[in-house]
Amino acid sequence: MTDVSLIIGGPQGGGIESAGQVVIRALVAKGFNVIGTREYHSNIMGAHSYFHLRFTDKPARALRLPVELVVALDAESALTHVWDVSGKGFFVYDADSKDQDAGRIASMELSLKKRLKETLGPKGGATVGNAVRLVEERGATPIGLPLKALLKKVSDETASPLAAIAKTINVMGLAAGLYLLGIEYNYIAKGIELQFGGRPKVLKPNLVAAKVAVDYVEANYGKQRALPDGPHKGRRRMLASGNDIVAMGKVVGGLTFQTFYPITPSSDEAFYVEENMYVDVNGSKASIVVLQAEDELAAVNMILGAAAAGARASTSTSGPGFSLMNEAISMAVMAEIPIVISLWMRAGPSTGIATRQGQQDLLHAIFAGHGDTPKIVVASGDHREAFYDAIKTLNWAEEFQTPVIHLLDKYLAATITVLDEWELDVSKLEIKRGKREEAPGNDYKRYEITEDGISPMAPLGKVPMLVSSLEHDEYGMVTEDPVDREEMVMKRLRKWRTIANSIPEEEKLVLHGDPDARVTLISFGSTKQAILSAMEDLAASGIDVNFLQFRILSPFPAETASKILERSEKIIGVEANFQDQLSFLLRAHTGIYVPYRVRKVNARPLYDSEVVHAVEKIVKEGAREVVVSSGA
Amino acid sequence: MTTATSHLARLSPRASCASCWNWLPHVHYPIVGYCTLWAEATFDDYYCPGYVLLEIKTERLYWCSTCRIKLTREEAALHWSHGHRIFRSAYVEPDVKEEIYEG
Amino acid sequence: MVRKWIDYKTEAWVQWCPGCGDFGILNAIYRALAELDIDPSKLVIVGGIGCSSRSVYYIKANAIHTIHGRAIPVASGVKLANPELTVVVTGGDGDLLGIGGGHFVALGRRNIDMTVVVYDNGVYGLTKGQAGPTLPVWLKTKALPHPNIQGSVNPLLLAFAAGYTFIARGYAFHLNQLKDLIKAAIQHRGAAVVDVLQPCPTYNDIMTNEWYEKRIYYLSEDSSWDPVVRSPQELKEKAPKILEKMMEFEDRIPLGIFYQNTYMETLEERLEKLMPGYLSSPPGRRPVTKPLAHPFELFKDKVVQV
Repeated sequence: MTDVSLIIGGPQGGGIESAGQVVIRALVAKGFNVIGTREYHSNIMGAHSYFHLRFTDKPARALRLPVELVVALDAESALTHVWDVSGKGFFVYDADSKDQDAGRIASMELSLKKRLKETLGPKGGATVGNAVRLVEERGATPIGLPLKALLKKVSDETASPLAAIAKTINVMGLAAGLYLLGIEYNYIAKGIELQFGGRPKVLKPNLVAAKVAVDYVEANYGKQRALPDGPHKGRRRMLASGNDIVAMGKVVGGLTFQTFYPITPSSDEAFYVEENMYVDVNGSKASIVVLQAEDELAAVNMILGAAAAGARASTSTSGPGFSLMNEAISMAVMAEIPIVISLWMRAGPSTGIATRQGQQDLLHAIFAGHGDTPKIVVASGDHREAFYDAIKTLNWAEEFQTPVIHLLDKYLAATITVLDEWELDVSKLEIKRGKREEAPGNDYKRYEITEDGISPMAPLGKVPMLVSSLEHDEYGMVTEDPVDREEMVMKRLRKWRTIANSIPEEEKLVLHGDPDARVTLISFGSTKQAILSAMEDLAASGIDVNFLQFRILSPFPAETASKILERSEKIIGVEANFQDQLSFLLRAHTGIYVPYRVRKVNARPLYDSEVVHAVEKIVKEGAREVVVSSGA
Repeated sequence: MTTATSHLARLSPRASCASCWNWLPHVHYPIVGYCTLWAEATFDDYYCPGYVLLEIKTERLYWCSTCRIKLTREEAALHWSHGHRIFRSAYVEPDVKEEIYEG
Repeated sequence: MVRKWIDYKTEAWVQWCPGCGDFGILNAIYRALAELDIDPSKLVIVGGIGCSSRSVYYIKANAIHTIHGRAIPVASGVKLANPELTVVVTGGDGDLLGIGGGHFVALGRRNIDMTVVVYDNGVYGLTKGQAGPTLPVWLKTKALPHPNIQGSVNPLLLAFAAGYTFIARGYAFHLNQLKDLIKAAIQHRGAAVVDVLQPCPTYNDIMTNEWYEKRIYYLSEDSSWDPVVRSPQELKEKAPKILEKMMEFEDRIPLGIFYQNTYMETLEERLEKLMPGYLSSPPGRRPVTKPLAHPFELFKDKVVQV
């Protein structure tokens, strides 16, 4: 069985993105499942960034540390990832960088320099050479690639201009690395072709570079044994990031209007919707208006207007932008306007770390908006869920004429996964638009009192009508009358109950694993796959846990959750925030206290390896709180 | 102690692209760079008759490839005196945006 | 069917103070709508928060009462979702130029075909007369404990800089002239703003009806005044005079159409260029009945065959 992880690091702008894309394609060509994420600084050029991947013939669920291969394209990467390579792994670095010292790397974080000095000081200083010695002592195999000499060789062997050849450093690194892991040159070449196929001038030197690198490794470290092919060869497969997949869900799900204000890590979703704003469907064009707003206030208020006028509308943002949207969310509740907000969480508070992971906006999403403003909050656990949720949230918004928050995060945003055609089957999916009224009469009441709390909704432009953010009567006319007021509040309450009762329990939460397990992990959002992956390892080491995944946090599935959790002896909350936000909600709704916690707050993804470690500490050693800290 | 004016000495004992005024090192991988004289990329150890020794004399911004930062003339001289590699500017690939993440 | 102004009046009680300029503006709007014979079913009035924003309840139309400062983005969403609708924003200077100032600028830049009527009295009426963004510096109204120490914004210059293609100023109690200005603004193809000077008899005891009447005059009194700009060249030629008139606000205050650009394309036209068919099947009317297609068919750039 194959299950291998790797990291390719280098300077932002220095080819890390295409390196990652080539690796994913090569591995998919070889027949594996792959997951890969991008970790990077909030920077345009030069700061350290890396691609972290895992490939396996099982489902590629989550990332793992340590890795079997580190490819460091520059000195900073070699030093940064010195702790990340496993004892049996390979450590590929630029042989010419051995003398480089962390102290002289301007872009490196000061704390990291200090940690390197502490670790490598005893060896004579924080140089790449000493990092290599440390790695070697721990059992890994360092592979020093003479990048300059190899680059000259590439230059000699191809007629391409050196400018094109200079761009092959990343490919030399990844080719050497993949070959060491047992991926044959023809698959590496396939990956390169898939990535650069449309650009012959780039393709040629990259193919030569890969060959030169592979030949060098073979000549100096011997012919490597090839891995057996994975089980998924010869298929059509999709490679999509979380940002991509949500955009796809929206487009497929009938989105007609999307706004955004640029903010990491949400912008790439809006970009991909924009790329597909005018798609061809059976010979005719479906258009989506995508508009960059002047700020998040405008972004959300524009979709309020568009939705009132009949559009299926959404916006996407992150925590800081969502803060600005609060007042409009309250208006959406009052005026009963269907909108979807994709909220891509990142590490806060405040601007925090814009490009890194966090799950700190759950309570923010739940409580956004003043004045009794319940809303649907959905947290997707992985790409596939995110795709369907993007469609379901559009449906729920229109069915219930309410704001819906689709909770996602930076890890999902930046993570690429491989999907099969059957995984995104839309043939059984329905588009629901609720009580949409296309032919309202002259006495149309926008806020007609109904038993289920939901009034027929006519888009603007049919008959005169009132849509109001002020308290209103059935017609939408402003009123401060106590009877009117109570009637409308009770209507909104009935609607909220309708929402709670209409959404099936199995949408709201999922119990994974053995229902009789003594230990239950609870979590929400993108921790799902790390936990599922960890459960397999825990089971192998005799710890039987199950996992209660909360998918819909509002309306909260209190009763079902209570029933499930009553059977559990030990409940462990797994969250990437310090307020234990899910546990807080659980206790508020059910009274159930979660005494054990696995906390991840270093703004890096949750790795399955650290879930295993933390649960073992809690179950075997009786720890109550484990802070897990992996990730560079 | 080196003063800010001692930069008038040759920057490199040996004439090559790496010390040539016409040459801009790659922003990320300075073993290669772009020659503005021939309008093509070269390795840093190449040489041609068009070689012009880079001196930190003119009032302008310089590129320190050790620190990957733009410097004023005085700062550049100071960095050079600490052994940093100073150039007229840096070479950035025209399609570099494909490699950059939203931040 | 030819509509009369009364056809646009709703049954709601108009809850403004006696002597409020809002009455004049509201009546001018009724009359402009009637003369244009706009179908109330296809008319959308969008208001923010404040005395004047309540106009939404008094005009028979599709109306949205939004939140403070956000009338313009909501209205922009409406118009882009269904461009066949006539969209008019009503709001005060505090709503549109203070808390919503950023959106006011953005609308000019976009040149969406809609009309913004600024009820401009220099004070925040509903909250008891605090200084609005158009109240001149050092003015001390009776509502203010101290003179106003913040300067005022010039709505016309701001609109011009932002890119509005129709800029006019009227006076609340000159019903006929104001009606004509609002009419021209609605008829204009592009983002139009009508800044309407108006007294707030309750809180602004300085800029009263008498104060205004002493100062105001109409640009059209000069028979050579022609605010229409049909080309970039013409804009260059006329801009100095237009700017000079926009800046005049002391002893004499000009009213009328300051600027009308007839060549600038609207955002809707730009969208139609980008996506032919947008105007006939815009976001609010595009039929959405089933999932568009399988993602593997739609997003081929993400699919690899290995």
